Amino acid sequence: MPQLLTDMTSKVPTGRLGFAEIAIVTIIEEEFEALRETFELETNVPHTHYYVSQLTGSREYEHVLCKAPERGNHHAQQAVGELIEDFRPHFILLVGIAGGIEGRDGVALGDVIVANLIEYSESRKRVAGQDLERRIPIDPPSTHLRDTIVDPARRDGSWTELIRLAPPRGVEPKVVIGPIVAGEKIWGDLNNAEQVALLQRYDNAVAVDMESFGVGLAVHMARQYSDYNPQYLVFRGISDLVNAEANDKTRQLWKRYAASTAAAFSRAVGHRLLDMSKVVNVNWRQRFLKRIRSTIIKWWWGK
Amino acid sequence: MKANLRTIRRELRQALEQSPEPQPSFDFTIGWSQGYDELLARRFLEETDIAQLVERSLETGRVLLCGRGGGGKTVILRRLARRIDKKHLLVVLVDLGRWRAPNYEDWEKCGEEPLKRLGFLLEEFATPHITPDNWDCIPANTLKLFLVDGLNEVSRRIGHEIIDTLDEFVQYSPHTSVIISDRLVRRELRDPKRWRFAFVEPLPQPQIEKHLIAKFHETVRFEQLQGLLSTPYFLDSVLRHAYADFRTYFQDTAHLADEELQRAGLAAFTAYNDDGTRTFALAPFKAIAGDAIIVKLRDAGALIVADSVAYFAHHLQHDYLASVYVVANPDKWSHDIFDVVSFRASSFETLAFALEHLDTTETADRFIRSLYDWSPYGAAYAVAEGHYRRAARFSQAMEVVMLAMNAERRWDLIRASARRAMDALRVNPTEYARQFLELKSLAELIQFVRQIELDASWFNEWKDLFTHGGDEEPTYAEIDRIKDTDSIIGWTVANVLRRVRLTRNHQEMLRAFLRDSEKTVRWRIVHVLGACPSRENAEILFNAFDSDPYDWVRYGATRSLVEMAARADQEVREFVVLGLQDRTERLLADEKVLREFEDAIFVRVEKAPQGWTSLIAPVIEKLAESAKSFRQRGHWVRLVFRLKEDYGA
Repeated sequence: MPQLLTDMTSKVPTGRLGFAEIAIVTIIEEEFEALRETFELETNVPHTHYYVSQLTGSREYEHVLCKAPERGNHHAQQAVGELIEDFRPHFILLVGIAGGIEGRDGVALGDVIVANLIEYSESRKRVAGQDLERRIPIDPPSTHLRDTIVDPARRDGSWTELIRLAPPRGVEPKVVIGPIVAGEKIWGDLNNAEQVALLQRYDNAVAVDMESFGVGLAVHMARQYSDYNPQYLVFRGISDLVNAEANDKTRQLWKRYAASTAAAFSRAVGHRLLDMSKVVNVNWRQRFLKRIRSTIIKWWWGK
Repeated sequence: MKANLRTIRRELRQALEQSPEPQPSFDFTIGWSQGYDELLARRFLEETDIAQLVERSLETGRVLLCGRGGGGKTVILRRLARRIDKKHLLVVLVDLGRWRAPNYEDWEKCGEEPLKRLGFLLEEFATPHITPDNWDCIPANTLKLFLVDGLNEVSRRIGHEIIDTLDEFVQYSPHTSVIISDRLVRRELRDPKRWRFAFVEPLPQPQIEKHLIAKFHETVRFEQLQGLLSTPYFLDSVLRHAYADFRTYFQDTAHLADEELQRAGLAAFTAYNDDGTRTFALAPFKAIAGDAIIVKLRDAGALIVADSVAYFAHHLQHDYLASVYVVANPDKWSHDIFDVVSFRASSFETLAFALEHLDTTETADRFIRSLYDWSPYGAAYAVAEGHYRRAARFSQAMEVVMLAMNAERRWDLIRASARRAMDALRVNPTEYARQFLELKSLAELIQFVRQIELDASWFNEWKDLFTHGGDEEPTYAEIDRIKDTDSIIGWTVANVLRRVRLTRNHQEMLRAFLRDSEKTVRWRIVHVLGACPSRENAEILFNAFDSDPYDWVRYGATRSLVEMAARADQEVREFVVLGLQDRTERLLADEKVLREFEDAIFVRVEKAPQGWTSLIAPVIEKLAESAKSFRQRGHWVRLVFRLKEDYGA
């Protein structure tokens, strides 16, 4: 009997490669290395691009880590879609770096942005001299998790002890919760007309990236079935300020540190998510067993 | 309303009871391959029984079950549906054989929404009848297996979109898997690693003999049908009727006289022409065939009528009748008719039947020449099918010529062309095909062909042309032969001109021909010019792309422009790429041309110029700007990603 069929007789939805409580997606190599180190996910699942802490016979994992093949929302959507199919995670974390917007909510290099909203800047309609926004439905990052898990972790402050690298200069990284604008470009020219217009249009965004929208879209597409309800969060360490001078140079200098601050905070959040899941899973199993019992009884009476 | 699994299962069981499995039942063997290359070459990693189809679909979610027409794919899927009796497994049969012409419009109305498309497939073609809104009521611990039969029954583009829809559905829907039956044609898959490739192998000789002996107590009188009987449909026909050919079937069982057979053939062809599907509107069919023929076909069990539509009990019957029309109308052998009966080169049975029933070698050879003019690969597939039926009358010389011309494309600069050529050779069972596959270079191919001695004067004439040395300049008389009405000669000249040294005068001559030649000759000429990079030739190709009335010329010009960009010096290369960037709207307006562009940009890696990705990427980015949705844009993003993977950033 194939593994999946065996799994199905005793579990809530699992994926083709097993089950993971938390799935983490990264994009660039520096992010991947920071997450691998921080979460201690050194074991490669054979013949795949996934990393876990160790292989298990039950194919159940607390964390699984992967790296999208390239930047961009489409690749992020594909990566998360594959994660969902392979591990049916309860929680999905997009962790990496992003460009902050100077002058917004005190955002500084090394800070970690937690997205409360994702705006997609590329979906526009240009007609009769107008540049109109066209929205595409996606899931926002989980408000529930933000309020019950992220905010307490932020206030706790001890997450900074998990940062594994020293910053290029003295900073005290903080967590900022705010909107992220996702697009298909790397921004960093404060004089570029398109960038200026972008920052004006999204006047309350605190950071820009290229993948959050894809993640939100994948989760939105997966959450069509009442028995599977994944939730996601986005953590971005600020590696540069898109509306500041020498942006590219700054990014090169700060990206490893920014990746490590994002990894550290996501690790702190991850601990709390696992604690919460232990309670939730007990309830899942109880409900599942109840359903099995009722099915057997109905079948018996049907005979 | 909450879906009741028991009710759903009962609906499927009742539907299956209404179409019992043919008896005696056959044992099928499934060959498993790593991918299309191995599948087409019949190289299997292992061979199993059909139960493994279910097991493997659960592993990766996706299985492509390929096979020839009449090979048993439908029987296998229905047998699986009957036998899968696991508590936590729900089976849904999706029969694309019921697809009708209006369904194309219905499909377009679904837009790009995967759930809408899926809902359409389930509502129109699924048993049990289940819709996305009650899909969610199926318990989480239930595995869902879709058995999708007949991907080849719809157009190539829609087939691709159906695969995409199911691929995505399987990704996001927990515990869902799909097995899709298809002909042995290469499909575009977003992530081939997530698919398992299965092939329904022909029935082995011992099994055939076992059934023949059980029924007839002997096998001798069926010896001449040996190859044919390895196809389950034909073995079943012999066991039922003691004959396997359709002509006898329609005459003896359906009682059609010769004239009636011709009329049924016209009606069958017209149904394909008008509806483009296996299920067709009854009224026009009846108007041509007449009531008497309809009654005979229904009484014989060949034609199934359901309200205002009809379909044949097996599509091979429809294909055979359409081939009767093709055989009777040699003056119509052309792209149009071949596109119709092959569903735009995704199904070749009609052509194989036609080939089988041409009564002289000369006519069969002429048919193959016409096929080659339409599609070198289509000709190769039809000839390969003819081998399996063991009745085709084409000459060995014609077959060798066709194989050699396909083999030459193995070294084409454009990888898709090389791959199609390999596929065409792989499906051919002859020793020549095997040898053509083993040759290591174009020079070896030419040397090999030079040594072939066949008893046909026209073959020797062709051989002299084909083996023209690369260092020899062609004569003007030889160049002039590109206009030859014999498509084999014309295309051979075109291909030879691509590999020899053409002077400026030669090229001027070809450009002059372009001005007043008939359409196929213009196509040959633009094909040649792609191998002669120059500003003048690029301008000529752009003119053809912009304004030639014949779509195949525009298609050829597109291909040649990309090829030229890969071969040319920097100045011409940049000129071509800028020209393509300026023409993205025209590219988008013509699906065939656009698809050719997408294929052509993948040139042989070792021949790609430095910075190929960054050269082509701006054209793709311009195409992406026209994308109306995130999903459409994703197509272009993936194309650029593939370029980067192959050629670097």
